[in-house]
Amino acid sequence: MLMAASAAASSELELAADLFAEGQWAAARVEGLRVQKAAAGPVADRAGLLAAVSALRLGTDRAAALQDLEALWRAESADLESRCLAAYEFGLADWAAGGAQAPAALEFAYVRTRETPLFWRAGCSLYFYLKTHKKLRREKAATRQSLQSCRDAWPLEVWRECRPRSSGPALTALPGRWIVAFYRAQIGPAIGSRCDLLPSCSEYFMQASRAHGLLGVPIMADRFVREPSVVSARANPATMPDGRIRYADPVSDHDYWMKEDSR
Amino acid sequence: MNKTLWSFWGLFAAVGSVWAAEPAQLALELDAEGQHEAAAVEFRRLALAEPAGPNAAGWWWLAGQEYAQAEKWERSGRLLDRAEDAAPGALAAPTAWRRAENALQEKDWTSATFHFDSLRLKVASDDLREFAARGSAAANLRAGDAAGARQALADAPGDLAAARAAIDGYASRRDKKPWVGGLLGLVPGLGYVYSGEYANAARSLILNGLFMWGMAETADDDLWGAFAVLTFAEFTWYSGSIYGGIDAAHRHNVRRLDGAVAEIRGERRLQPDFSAVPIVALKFEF
Repeated sequence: MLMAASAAASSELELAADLFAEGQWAAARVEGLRVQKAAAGPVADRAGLLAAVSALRLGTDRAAALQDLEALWRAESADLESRCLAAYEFGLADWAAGGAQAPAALEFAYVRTRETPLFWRAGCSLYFYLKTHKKLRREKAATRQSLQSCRDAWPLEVWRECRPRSSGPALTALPGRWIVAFYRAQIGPAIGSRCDLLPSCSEYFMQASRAHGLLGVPIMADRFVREPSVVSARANPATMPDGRIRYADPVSDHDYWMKEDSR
Repeated sequence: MNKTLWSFWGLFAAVGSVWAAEPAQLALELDAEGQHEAAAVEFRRLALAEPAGPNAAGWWWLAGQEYAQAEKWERSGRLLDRAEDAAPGALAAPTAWRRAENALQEKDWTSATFHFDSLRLKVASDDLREFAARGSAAANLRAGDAAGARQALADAPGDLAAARAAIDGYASRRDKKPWVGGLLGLVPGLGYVYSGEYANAARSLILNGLFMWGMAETADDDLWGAFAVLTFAEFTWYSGSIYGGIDAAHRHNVRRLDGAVAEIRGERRLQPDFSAVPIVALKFEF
């Protein structure tokens, strides 16, 4: 939605929008900033928006990205559609962070946008937000009524996209997380980094548990047994930033046969 | 040793290529530093600045090549599409080659075979036809089709005796059966032995033996707390022996196949030659 709008806004933004669409957040952010510095007016607004949303997706300097989005949302002189997109993205991020400005931001995007995809998504997100906030639902009775009258028009993909998801780990991955957390907090600092493989054994166990739950235990035991052979084979060496050599032995080399019947 | 074998001068104007090399400086430096994704972005910028045509196609192709270097196969494929759209047919052979290599990396053996076969039909040089035939044979063998692999080499030029022997050697032996490895793994270490991993088998046997002995001793002495801890640890080693038996069989099969494929493909590799970008030229590296 954001990249389509951006690409349509200007050919100068085509590369940034393509990079954003491909999920290359770091590159999209740099490209957005580059265009923002060189352009003016709506193109600069849209470029700044792309850069801020990319930074948000990237997860680095989240506070600054949110500040940029909020500033664009509230800038009355800015291009209206850029403001609506900024409000929408800010609202989602604020909601995820448990902030209080999400409903105002989502409502702004819902009421003011003229772009149908954003109208649907802002409305659907606000609908779910109000569904989980009883008190606010009573205060915004008129908005809720409007949302209920529109909701039949929202496509299934919009429902799926905007539905809040639980982001916690699977239950079967929890024992693995606890064991690794205990090891990293209590044992690792005392004995230091001893693993010669990449990823380290604790990270390997974490990844195996995340992917396969309790099956992570035998996968890890197999690695302990194999470790000396892998190190002595010296295959796939990688130099770490501290100059130490480690040997690549990813989980994907040992569980690919569970996922597919290919060689 | 590098040997430039063929270039695609195509429809390019010589004047255009002289000025075009300079703006690519940043992309080429990023490539030399191993920053392939950043180099790809620079090539994309150059492609967007050109009207559709051979130069734009060259930049798109180079961006696709950089993404392939960065192991972003899907992105590479998308940019190769754009290269083909910018100048249909201008970069047919390099695109077929890049797509074939990408498909091999993505384990899409059918596509890899198709693109290598397509490359073989698009080039006149014997060296390239041999290279394409070897690639097609490797893709066929990875797909489990030894007869198809032999067929791919049947009318190819060059000395392919070693490649044919590798296919015959691979086809004459059987893969290890992972389920047998798992079953044998019920006896600690035996699953590893089945796949020829004797050192791993010894370690598995010693660890399982030690912990089982510890369990017996602690049970004998009514030390039930210690018994519970050792039982949990032994469960880890024992389940690891079963899993390891299965995985060792898979590892053995992969090593065997990789060895045969390496023999089939030989030592020559194609690489792009950046000396005249956006003109796409490929050279063999040994």
